[in-house]
This record gives sequence, C-alpha cells and structure tokens, in this order.
Amino acid sequence: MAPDHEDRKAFRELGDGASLDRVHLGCHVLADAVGQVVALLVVLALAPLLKGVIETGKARLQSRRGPSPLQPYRDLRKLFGKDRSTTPDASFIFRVAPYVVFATPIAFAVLIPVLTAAPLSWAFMADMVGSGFVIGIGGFFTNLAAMDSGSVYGGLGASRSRFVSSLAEPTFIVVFFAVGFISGGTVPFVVNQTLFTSSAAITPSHALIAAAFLMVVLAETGRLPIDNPNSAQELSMIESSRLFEYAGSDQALMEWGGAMKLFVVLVVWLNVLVFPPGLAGAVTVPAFAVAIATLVGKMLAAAFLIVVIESALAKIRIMRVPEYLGGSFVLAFLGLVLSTLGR
Amino acid sequence: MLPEITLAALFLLVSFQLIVARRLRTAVGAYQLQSWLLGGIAIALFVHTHLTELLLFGLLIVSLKGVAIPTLLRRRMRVALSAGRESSYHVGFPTALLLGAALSLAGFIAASRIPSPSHLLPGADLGIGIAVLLLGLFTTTARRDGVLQMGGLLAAENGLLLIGLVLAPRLSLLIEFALVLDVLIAVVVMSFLLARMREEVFSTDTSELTRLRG
Repeated sequence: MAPDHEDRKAFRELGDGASLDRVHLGCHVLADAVGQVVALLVVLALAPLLKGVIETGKARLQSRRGPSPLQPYRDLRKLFGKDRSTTPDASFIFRVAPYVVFATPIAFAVLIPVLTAAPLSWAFMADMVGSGFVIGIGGFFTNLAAMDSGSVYGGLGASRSRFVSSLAEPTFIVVFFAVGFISGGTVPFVVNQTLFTSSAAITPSHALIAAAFLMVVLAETGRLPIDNPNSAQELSMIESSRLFEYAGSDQALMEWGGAMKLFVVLVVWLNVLVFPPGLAGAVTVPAFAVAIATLVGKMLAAAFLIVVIESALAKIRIMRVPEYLGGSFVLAFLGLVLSTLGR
Repeated sequence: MLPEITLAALFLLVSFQLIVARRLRTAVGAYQLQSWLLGGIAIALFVHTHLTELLLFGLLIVSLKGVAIPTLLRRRMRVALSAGRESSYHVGFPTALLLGAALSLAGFIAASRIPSPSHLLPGADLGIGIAVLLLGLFTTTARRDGVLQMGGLLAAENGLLLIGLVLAPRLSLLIEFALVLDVLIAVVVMSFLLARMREEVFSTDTSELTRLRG
C-alpha cells in the first residue's frame, strides 16, 4: 500500500502553519533529519536497557537480587570483543542475517512515532502494513539463517516460530483494519493523532484492540505465555534456539536486534495505541527532552507490565498456542465490530 | 463514553470466557461475573432514567443470578462433581472460538435489522445481547459436559435479558421477577438431573449417554 498524499497534506495543515519560504523549509528539513537521528539513537541506546530492566524486575519479583539493569550492555561489549565463528555448512545467508536483523528495527523506527507526534520526513515511506513487512524481514532472515546453519535446534526453532507468526498475522491484520477504520488512515502518525484527539476517554473497541495487539506482540517477540526467554532447555525454546550457532559480534548484533525489535514494537503499542501524550510537537531541545523522559517512563510502565505477566503466567503448551492467538484474534475482531457500531 | 456500552462490551468478553473455559470452576466464575455485569447495566440505566423498576431489576439480577445461582452451582459441584476436571468440545477450542466470533458477528448483523424502539441504550447493546444469546446456545450444543451445557443455557438467558432491557426497559417488575425465579428453579432441576446422571453413568459427559446399557 502506497502512503497517501492526502495524509501528507493533512499533516502540512496540522503542523505549525505553512511557512513556505525557502530558508524556513531548509531549516525544517535539517531539523527533521536531526530529530530522526536522535530518535534512532534513542532506540539503539535504550533497547538493551529495556531488556535489562525486565530481567532485573523479574528477579526482584521472585525475591532474587538478579543482574543489574545494565547487564545487557556488558554482554554486548563482551560479545563484540569475541571472534565470530561460522559453521562450515552455512552459506552467505548465515553471515548476512545478523546485519539484516540489526537493521530492520532501525528502519522500522523511522516509520513510527518514537519521539515526535508529527511525522518526520521519512515517515511516509510505509504505512502500518508496510512497516509490519519491514519488521517481518528480520524474523524471516533469522529463520533462514537458523535452517542454514544445519543445526537441529535451529530448524526446530524456525519451524515453531513460523507456526506462531502465521497464527499471529491475522490478528495484526485485523488490528490494522480496525485502527484504519477508526482513524481513516493507516500511517502510524495519522492513527496516533486521530485516536488521541478524537475522543478523550477509552472506548471499548480501542481497549480491545490494544489488548489484542499486546497479546500478539508478546507472542511475536518470544515473551512468556508462548516462549520463555530465560529457558535453558533446548527442546522447549523457540526464539533463542534460532541463535544457537552464532558467536561473537554476530551474536551481539542478533541480540541487540532482538532487543530493539521488542522496544520498537512496544513503542507502537504505547505511542500509537495506548498513550500518545508526551510526544514532541516540534523538533526543539526541550520538547525532545520531555519526549525522551516520557518515553522512558512509559517504557518502565510497559516493562513492569511484562514483568507481572511473565511472573504470573506459565508457558502454555505449544499445541495450545492457537487458542491464545485465536483469543487475540477474537478480541481484535470484536474491537473492529464494536468500532463500526459505535460510530 | 457511556458506561453501559463499556459494561456491555465486558459482558460480551466474559461470554467468550465462558466459551473457552476448560474447568467448571472457571465457567461458574465467568457466569457470575456476567450476571454482575448485566445487573450493572440495569443499574447504570437506572442512573440515566430514574426508573425504579430498573434499579429493582438490577438488584434482583445481582442477588439471584450473581450470588444465589453461582453459590448453588458451587455447592452442587463440591458434592457431586470434581470441579477441577477439564472438559472439552465436540469441536476443537480454536474452532469454537472462531465459530463464536462468527456467531457474534451474526448477532450484530441481526441486531442492525431490528429497529430499537427505546433510545435508552445504544444499538450496539442489542447486538451484544443477541450475540450472547447465540454464544450461549452454541455452548449448550457444542459442549460435551452437562454442567457446562447448563452454563451455556444460563448465559443465553442473560443475553435474552439484555435484549429485553434494550427493547422493553419498562417491563413490569412482576414479569421480570417471574423470569428470574424461573431460572433459579431450572438450575435446581437441572442440577438434580445431572447428579442423577452422574450416579448412573459416573460422569456428566453427555456423549456417554449414547451408549446402550443393558
């Protein structure tokens, strides 16, 4: 789906008045680029911290001391200092995959409102469905690489993760339909503006869609009801068994990419579907400081939610995954139906 | 946003909980919550309209369907049935969920054809009522276990009461009282039947009843 010119126009009007002189426009472009880069740096820098905070929180909830929230950074530094090793059977896909996995969440972050409420210059490259494809490329390459490595567990993990993703896809599509229906556009920035400004209170359909989206996000990022990220048992792993054959900087890129994937998908959940306030209206230093601070606050709240979910729920049997994802599909579907009735 | 539509949306969700419940205990809890929500809708309507019937109706639902019937069911279960046992469907659980979604869509479509005479409740509530009615009937037909079939029937009855609230909120209290008490009697009778069935075939799984016994 090509991004709309209508959306673009709408935002010119929504923005701080049309100042059409060239100098101003030039400043605008520069500020846009700076804002974009800052948003990407925030994603790069904070993603491992989110992972660390979740681990620490889970340990604390189980009365353990647990690792410091900064542990993922130390892991990454250690891994980057080590040599890479590749299995002799692997083809170029195995060597390329870490870069793809690392790059796709960054590309995705350009398309979504990380820090700014108004879209930056690259935001119209793809809408929600398109950005879903972008984030899907990473998982696709992880699966290919896992099978390419020739390891048994890699193949097992790849097959299971395809199983989960293929069941999660219908929910994603229905969620996109529903938000597109409510807001009249599928570019994340448009959606976020409409859901944010159209009604102050939470409507049932909105809540259902947000719940369904969180359920599939947890499934897609290898979180607990589906996959235990702390599991040490090869036979029960989904996500981590795909990374078994990686070492050194490759593994670091894979893990960093995985952390960023969780981070950016949660950003979509928080800033588009649940709680957009706090986003910067314009590219200025104070507005961005506020935006980063609120993003950190929201992320802490989301991390707390994930900690509670992961501590309260046991991993469900693999053959019951269709029930979990079927449930999320039904939630999204009812959200869609109620949104069409509620208008 | 109106609290009624939020309560009604929760009402629909809880009905889905009744569909996916594997244990009798969960199903009874879901039914109880559903009844509380129905009572809540009636009371929220009372706050808007100041019709005393609605308040009494809401309180009646909460006390009978929200407290008395679940307590009765729990006690029966403790005596006669193992409440922790898992129960299944004639179809798989995911299929049941998807069929439930399709049925609720059918309910909404049916509701859009019925002109709502009262303008007290939004049209979505009528759709939710019909959807819950269909979901309850579906549970009754597709479940294997007799107790959960009864749960489906009770849920269908709740949906019917919601439809009644939308279409005729000023119904005489006497009729409503009779309706709700009827359910109580039905529960008592059905639980005796189920206990009897358990004595005879040592289970409440109705598919056992197809076997011939000499």
